[in-house]
Amino acid sequence: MTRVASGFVAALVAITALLVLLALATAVRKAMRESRDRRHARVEAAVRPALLSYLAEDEPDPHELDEVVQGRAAGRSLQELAAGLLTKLRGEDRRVLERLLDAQGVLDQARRRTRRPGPVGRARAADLLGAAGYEAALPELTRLLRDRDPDVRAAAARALGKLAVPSAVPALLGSLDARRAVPAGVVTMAILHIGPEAAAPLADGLSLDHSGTARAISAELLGRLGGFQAAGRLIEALGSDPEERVRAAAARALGRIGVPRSVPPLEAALMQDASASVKQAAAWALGELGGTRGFAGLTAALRSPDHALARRAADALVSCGPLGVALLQRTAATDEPGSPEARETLGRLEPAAA
Amino acid sequence: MSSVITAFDWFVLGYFVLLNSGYLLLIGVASLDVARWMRRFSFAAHDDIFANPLTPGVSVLVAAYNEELSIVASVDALLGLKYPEFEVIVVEDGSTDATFERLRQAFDLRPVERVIPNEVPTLGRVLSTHAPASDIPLLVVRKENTGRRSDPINVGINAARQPLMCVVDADSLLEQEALLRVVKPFIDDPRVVATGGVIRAANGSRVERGRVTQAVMPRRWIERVQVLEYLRSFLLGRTGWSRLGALLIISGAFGVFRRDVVVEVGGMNLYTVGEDAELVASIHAHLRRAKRNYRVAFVAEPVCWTEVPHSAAVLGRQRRRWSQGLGEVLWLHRRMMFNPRYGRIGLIALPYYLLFELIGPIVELSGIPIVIVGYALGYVDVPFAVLFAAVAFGYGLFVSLSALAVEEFSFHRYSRWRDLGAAVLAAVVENIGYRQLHSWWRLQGLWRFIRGQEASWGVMTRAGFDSPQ
Repeated sequence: MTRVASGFVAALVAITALLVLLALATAVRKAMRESRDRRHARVEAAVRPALLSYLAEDEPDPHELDEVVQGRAAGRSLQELAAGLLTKLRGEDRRVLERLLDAQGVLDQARRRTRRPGPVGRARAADLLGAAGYEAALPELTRLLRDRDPDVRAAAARALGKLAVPSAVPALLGSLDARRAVPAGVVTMAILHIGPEAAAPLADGLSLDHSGTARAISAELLGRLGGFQAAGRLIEALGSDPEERVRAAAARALGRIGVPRSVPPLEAALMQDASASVKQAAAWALGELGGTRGFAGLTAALRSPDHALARRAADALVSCGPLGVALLQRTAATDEPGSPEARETLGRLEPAAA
Repeated sequence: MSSVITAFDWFVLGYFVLLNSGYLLLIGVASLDVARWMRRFSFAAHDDIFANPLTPGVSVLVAAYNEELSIVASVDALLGLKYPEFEVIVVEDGSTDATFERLRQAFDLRPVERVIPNEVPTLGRVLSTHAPASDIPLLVVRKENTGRRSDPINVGINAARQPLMCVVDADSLLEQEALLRVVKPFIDDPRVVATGGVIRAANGSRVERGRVTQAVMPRRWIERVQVLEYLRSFLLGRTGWSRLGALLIISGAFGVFRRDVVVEVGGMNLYTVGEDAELVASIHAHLRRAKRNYRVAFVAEPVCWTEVPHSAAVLGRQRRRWSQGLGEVLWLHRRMMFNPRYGRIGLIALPYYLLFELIGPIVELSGIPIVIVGYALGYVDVPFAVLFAAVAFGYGLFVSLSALAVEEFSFHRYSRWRDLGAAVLAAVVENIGYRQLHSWWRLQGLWRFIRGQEASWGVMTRAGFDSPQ
């Protein structure tokens, strides 16, 4: 046999051995997973009723579960079940669960785990602390907003939202512009979790000291959280902020808040702003505000070559009442700019009227 | 003569080793990504994306041509997606079967007015637009058929009104949370302009009300081999490319794009059959030239189930089209090839597709006549040739089994032992006959590209999903 053929034989033997090893490893993994799943289901089936009857008691004692839940696997299963239920329960049941986790030392352990070297451990710890609404962990969670791992930072931001502490808003807004930033989508949801109490710190977020991202998000969230007191600052942002995304967000927020004095600045933005997105947001906001005060601006916008703007103007004109609907009907009967949008809006009205 | 044959043998072996090593490298890289994804899934907070009113809306675009068997199940599944704000736009491309009638009856469609601006070019005239009488977020656009899949998609892009658009095949079923997961990269990273999701073969699996409730290996070997192919190429191959920052193909069966970026590049190319890959290549080319910081990502778990061809004839048509499309895409974007200005796309991805995907069948198939001629002339040492083939075969099998192992260690969608056994056997069967036939189809597709044959939808016979009553 030549050296080349010997080489081939050796390669073939090596590949065959690898194939057998791979097949065996796959089969063993599958068998082990199935066995582990069955064991886990068995333990959970024993622990779940104990936990549920514990929750049903009037004055439950956290230590009474110790008799039922014995062994490491059962303890872990109890903690997993309790942590899983935290996100689903409200009111007294939730507080009972929080006390149970606290009594078992799980929450203190989670605070310590925020310093673990592995990012998965840190993120899971943040997740649990947030789900439990454990306010004592505010410093740890704020620190994790600057973690080197993006998933840990996001988990910390979500957890801060679940704590529902308004004092966390500046840190959350600051995390948008940090070198290690938190995604805007995560920060917005966290602040929405905090609720209307976040409005005051959000109004400060409109200041030009903050980045465009932070200002746009502050404006958007003020609209969602009903920041009536910030209407003046939103009007100011609509008229003078250098970034169009901030002006557009301010317009949408004013539409949601529904303060009548925002109609003239919105109409001015609709007529004069250079940005298409700001004009579209202003048209939508005027529709939300209703009434006929924005009629002239919306009439002009209906004839815009920008389809999206014309469509929003057509929808907004409906909220101007009979005057707006009559204009749409007249426009729809022509081939003028805005007529397709008028027909589309009227077409949507017809089934509703029927 | 003998030395020419020997040299060619070594060239083919080297090519096989390089090709399979490439696959193995991608599988290895993908396995790291998949492992990371699995470890972090518990705190990925997809529910937050669902609850967030500021999550960007998605227009789901479905191009439907002669899809009467599966269209209602597909649209049902799409309307049941868990996502805060979305609309489903079905563009019925002048079907000759009852596709529209099925939709009309199932969703109580009525004619409606809808402004469809011409932001990206289209060919076929829009005939009418329809929506359900209720508030279901569905729009059906009927248009003239032009024989091109990209045309109805472009009509859908024009009709879309959400900032993100998701392109889905009419014969595909998305899992309920698929959209939440495939949109997550857009929320996590504002640089993301496109994401692709995993496509798996639904043949043989149990489908109830537009959802795959149990993944089962299909009965026919030709379908089983495709299950394995999809696993190796679509799940792990693309995850690997994504990890390397050089993802060139997002399947037309399930991809999400920023609509404004798609409009910037002019929508889908109307004159190629590889319109999905062409769109991604155009996005890369456009954003690289504009020196914009962007990302194209692949998400390993938002599953889109599709019905793969169940006969050799239908599969052959599909693979010829894919190969022709690949040739067209590589030709259209030849300026990017080996061009450092286009980064890893120009230096790694495009050359890989040229050397191993497009001209691969020429190398693979040319070996067969040369061995026969060599044998006839007495230049082939039979025991040596058998050893030679066994090594190439074994390495290919090892790559396929590695893909299966990664699937079993991570997602393990197929729960039954017999499915695992069938997949292992499919990995063996794939190398005996199927691989050669597949190369032949790809070669035909390459020939069509060289001849400049015109693009068309192609006739894909469907069996429909296995939906118990």
